[in-house]
Amino acid sequence: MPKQKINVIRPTLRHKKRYVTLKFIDPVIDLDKQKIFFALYKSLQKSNGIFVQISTNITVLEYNSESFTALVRVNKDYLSEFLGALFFLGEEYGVVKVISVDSTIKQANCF
Amino acid sequence: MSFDLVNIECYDVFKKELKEIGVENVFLFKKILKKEDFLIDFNLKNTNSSKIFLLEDINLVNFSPSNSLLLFKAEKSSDLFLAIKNKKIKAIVHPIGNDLIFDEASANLLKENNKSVIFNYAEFKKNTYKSIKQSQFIIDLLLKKQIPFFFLSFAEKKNDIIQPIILENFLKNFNLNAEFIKKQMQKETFEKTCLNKK
Repeated sequence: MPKQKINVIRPTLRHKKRYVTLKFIDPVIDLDKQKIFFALYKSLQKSNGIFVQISTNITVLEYNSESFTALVRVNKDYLSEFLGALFFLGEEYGVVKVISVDSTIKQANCF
Repeated sequence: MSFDLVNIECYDVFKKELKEIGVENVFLFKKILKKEDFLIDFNLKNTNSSKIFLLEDINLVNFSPSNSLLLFKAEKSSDLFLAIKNKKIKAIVHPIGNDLIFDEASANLLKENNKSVIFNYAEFKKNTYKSIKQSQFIIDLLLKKQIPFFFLSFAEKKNDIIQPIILENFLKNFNLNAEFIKKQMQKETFEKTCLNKK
C-alpha cells in the first residue's frame, strides 16, 4: 500500500506563536540552547504543571553567547504562563530580562 | 512607573541591573537589628526614598526617628497583633510564619488601623510552597476586606530582583487581574498608601 501523505494543517487552524527575546544578565554558568531549554522547561513545570509545560511548546531557536540573548518560540495562548514562569529561573542564569515579544521571527531578529 | 524596595547596603551592587530591567524608581530600606542601626546615614540622592526601616523586633519601634516609614516583618501572630496596633508602623511585611499567622481577625484589625501589607516576592523563590500557599489565603482576605497590598523584592542580592513584566505575569497566578496588578506596581499607589503623599 503506497504511503499516504498527511495533509498540511491550514494556517488558520495552526497554533499561533510568539517569539520572545530574552537576555541573561551576568549568568554564572556557560549557557547554550539546550541548557536554556531545560531551565525554561523546568521552571514552567514548577509554576504551571506538566500540561501547560507541554502545551506551551517551548523552542529555543537561537542563542547568542556574546550578547547573552536567546530567541524563544512559544505558543501564543500560553505566553502569560511562560513569562510568569521566568520568575522561577535558577540563580545561575542571572537576572533575566524580556527584551521583546513579537509575532513574527523577522521582527524578533532585529534584537 | 514601576518601583522596587531594596536594601540600602546592597543597592550599589545591582543598581545597574535595576536600571536595565526597567525599574526606574527605587526606594531604599535599612534592616534594623539593634537600636544603633537607626543612626544610618541614608544618602537619598538619585532615589525617591524617604527613610524606610524594616524591623523584626517590635521593641525597637520606640527608638525610631520621626519622619521615617516603619515596616514590620511578622513571623509570630503575637508580634503581628502588636505591630498592627502600633501607630508608628505603617505596613506589615510578609506575614508568613511556619504556621498560618494571618487570619480574618488580623485582617479586620489591619482595616481598622488603616495599614497595608507588603509581600516579599523574593521569599516566593526561597520558601516556594509555604509562601505561596499562605499568600493565596491572605490575598483573598485582603481583597475581600479591601486592604491595600504590594509585592516588592526587598532585594539583598542581584538574583532577588525581577523584571516588572515577569512579576506581572507571575502574579496572575494569584487570580489577580492585570489592571489591578499594574496599579499595585505603580510608585504613585505605594506613595499614596504608605508614604501619605497625595
